[in-house]
Amino acid sequence: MFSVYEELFISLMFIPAAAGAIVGMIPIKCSGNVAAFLCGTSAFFGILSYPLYLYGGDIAFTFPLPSAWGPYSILIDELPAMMISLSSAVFLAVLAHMIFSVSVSAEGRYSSTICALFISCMLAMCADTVILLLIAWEAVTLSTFLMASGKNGAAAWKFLVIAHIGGLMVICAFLVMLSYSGDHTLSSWSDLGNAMGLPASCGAIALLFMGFGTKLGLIPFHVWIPDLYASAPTHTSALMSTVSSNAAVMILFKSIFGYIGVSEGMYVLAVILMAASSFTAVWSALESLVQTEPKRILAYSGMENMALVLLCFSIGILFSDGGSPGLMTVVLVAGLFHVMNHSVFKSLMILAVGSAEDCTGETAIEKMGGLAKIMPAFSLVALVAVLSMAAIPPFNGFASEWLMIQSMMGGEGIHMTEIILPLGVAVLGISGMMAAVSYARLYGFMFLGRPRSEKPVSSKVGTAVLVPMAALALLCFAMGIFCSQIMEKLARGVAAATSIPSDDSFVNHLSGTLNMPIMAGILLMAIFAAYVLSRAFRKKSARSPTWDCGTPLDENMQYSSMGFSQPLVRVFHPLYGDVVEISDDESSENRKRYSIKFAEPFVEHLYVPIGNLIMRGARRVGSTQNGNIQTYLGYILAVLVVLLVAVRFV
Amino acid sequence: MIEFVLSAAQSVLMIALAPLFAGILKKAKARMQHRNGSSIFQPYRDVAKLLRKNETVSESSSLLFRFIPYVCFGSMVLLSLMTPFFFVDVAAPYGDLISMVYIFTLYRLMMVLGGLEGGSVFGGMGSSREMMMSVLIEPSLLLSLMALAGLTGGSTAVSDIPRELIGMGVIVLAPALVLAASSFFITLLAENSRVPFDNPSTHLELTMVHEGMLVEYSGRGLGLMDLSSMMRLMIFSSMLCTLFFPWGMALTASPFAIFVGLAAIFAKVLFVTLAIALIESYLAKYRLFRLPNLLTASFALSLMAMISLYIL
Repeated sequence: MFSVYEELFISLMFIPAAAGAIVGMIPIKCSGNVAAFLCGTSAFFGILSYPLYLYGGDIAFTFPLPSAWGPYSILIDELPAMMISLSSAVFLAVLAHMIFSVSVSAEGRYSSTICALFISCMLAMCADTVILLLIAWEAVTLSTFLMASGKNGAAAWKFLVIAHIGGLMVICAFLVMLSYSGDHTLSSWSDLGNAMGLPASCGAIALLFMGFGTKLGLIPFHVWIPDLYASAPTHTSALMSTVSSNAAVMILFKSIFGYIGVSEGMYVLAVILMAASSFTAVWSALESLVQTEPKRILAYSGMENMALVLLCFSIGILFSDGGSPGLMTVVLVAGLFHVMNHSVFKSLMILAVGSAEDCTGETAIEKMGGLAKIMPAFSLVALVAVLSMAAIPPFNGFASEWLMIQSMMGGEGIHMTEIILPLGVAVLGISGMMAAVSYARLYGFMFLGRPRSEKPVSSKVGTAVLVPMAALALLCFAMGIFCSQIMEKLARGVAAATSIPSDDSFVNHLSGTLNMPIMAGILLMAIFAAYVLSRAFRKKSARSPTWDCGTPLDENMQYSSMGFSQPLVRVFHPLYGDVVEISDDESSENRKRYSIKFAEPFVEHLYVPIGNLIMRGARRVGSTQNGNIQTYLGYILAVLVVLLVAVRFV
Repeated sequence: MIEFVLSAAQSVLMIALAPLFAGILKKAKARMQHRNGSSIFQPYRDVAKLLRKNETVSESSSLLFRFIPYVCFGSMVLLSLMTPFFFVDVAAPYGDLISMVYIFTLYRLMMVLGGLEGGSVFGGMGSSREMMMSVLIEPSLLLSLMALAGLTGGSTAVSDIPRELIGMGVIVLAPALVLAASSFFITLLAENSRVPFDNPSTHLELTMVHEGMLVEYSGRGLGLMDLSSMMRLMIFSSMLCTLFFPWGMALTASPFAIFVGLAAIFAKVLFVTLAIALIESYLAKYRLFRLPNLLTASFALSLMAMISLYIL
């Protein structure tokens, strides 16, 4: 009935971006902006996918392309439609920020890779055949690599290698699943676990978890994340940490709970996955406390959030053993809701940090400070992002963390989970609070206080970039206020995408416990009333320098960001790596500056030894290649002899 | 209707009595130290005087600094609407225990940002230490509330818990409740910056945490922050007295039940206040890096509460 509209919609969503990818290649000056604008058009139509789904049901389409491996078809049902809408909104905001910002001129090639990223992410979320899914996923990796390989090539190569290890695991898992199903169409796969048997399905789930974990920052595959965030352009990090994470989580969710299907007996696997994701959450929250660059802090916080999502999924697997289907739905909804929220507040924060870096020309947090006075509007939207990231009501981060805790508390009393779930809550509490500390530190030392460097600050970012940022901030607020409605929709989507029987009782019960609109309304009214009441008695308010025992304050006479997290570092010191660098730059005027840098233990104790081993092996192999023609003739002779002997005896 | 009026009245009463109990706490401490101490009504006078005064703010602070006292006060008003006092229903049943924990986090985060606003060393130090403690407080606070919810059948709605506990009778005095309550009491001391975590009566010394963050406030802002911190102590005490030990609370709106409820809650909050005063008089403030031990003990207590819930 809607087939004409479906084709129209699909072409409106993909053709402008595809055109943008080609336009971006043309070496003329405005090609970058044109390509970005075309991609924005696509993203705008992408936003419409959920309204269209609500109006007309599933959207299915097959690309008329020849293939040896089954057709290239896509299917947008409830969950992908929601994800595509939200990811497109984030995409649009990031693109608008890129077009509006004065300091960054959109390069043609960069814009065309953004178009490629858009197409591949959207296809990965809604692909309906194995071949299309795997191609799209590979294209996500490649376009991210092309977008990131700007200033620092090493970080991007590190990403490419690790992402391909992950991609290999994903391909293996899908091939195993395909061999059991025999059908290329993903929507016909359900509960393959029954056919696969317990060991094979556990293995496939573990492979998928690790494979997508490389993109999401599961330890020990996380080493590329901080470096890439620190060196890539702002908009790359913003899209990478949000839209491609959304795609990864979406595919992971559909594969584990839809295609393979969890069953009883996965208890051990669930506990192992829970341990891995809890460790990642706490670890990355700890590491984010000692980072000295805002983008690295955000990198670790992205890992922490994704680890919480993975924790939800592993608890979902745990609940398959004796839990009620309603409870499983709730914990999966919590995970999916969190990844949606994360993509909104994280992109907002990365954009704010990027603008601040453009404005000050600094990338070290120790050189910033006092930006709230120079760019008040930016500091306001950044505050919204920080509050949502720190799970403060009534913003969206709170809503999903609340649902996570609720689902874990609701699972109490289920056989064999008595001790595990409280520990899960403890992990959530401790990593959430540590992340809040790290965001308070990020905000406090970037925007508050006094400036820490004497460099003049140029406000060359322009005010137009505030529009997309304000839109994202509003979205943070709206998704928090209307969390119950979103949770209900997500619960319906989870029931449709998996074989978990739909059970609304739990969701209804939960949305009865928390009434965000009224709670937020009371809070805002109380704040407003306090303000009005105390403003009624008009009092004078004087400004004076900060009190400091009488000496004139210079820019270094305030708390440093490393000092701020030092008490926590001392409490958790066994978990931090070694101190690699205590520098003491003594300048001519007898002023000393100390800085501390921590080593990343996984690099030092895992990757460096592996690298050394490979280098040693390569050197040993290399010594056989001495460039002497006689030696090579000798090798050929030896091979011939071995082959002849082999032929003779076989 | 009468229920709503009663629950609104109890919130107003809580806000109104918060300075009184702060005064009683100070007076009790003074008497234990053989001093006469100031009147128990002194906090009312202090707050009223501060609210009437002009304020001076730091040049380096931004607009956020002006709003922090209102946000802190507003969040405490919201929490007092969500906490039962002498009557079992609450005026604003729109959030549960977990959202209450996160509203406390809002308060704390705002105060921490306020400490960083002026760019002074005192504020930064206070904020840094507060954040260290809050990381260790949060899991044990969540777990003790989880144990409470587990004990009463999984509901986290605030007004269900006292009803359930009273309905269960004496059998509810299981180890789980006692362990969770003692864990909650330790977090109460930590959250409200009492000895041994912080010394609330010092100003401008290297030991301070809470007062360090308030250094830059003056006049109206300081008055509101002081009032909010008194309200926070009051809310925590009444959470301890109504959620963990709800006996005596008014379950119905009959005059007798209300009378008993009022008397019971006064006695219980007074008991908690005197216990805090006793601890503050007989214990010195701990060294900063000894505090994690105490908070870990609190975490262990609440974890034991969870375990005993299922083993016993």
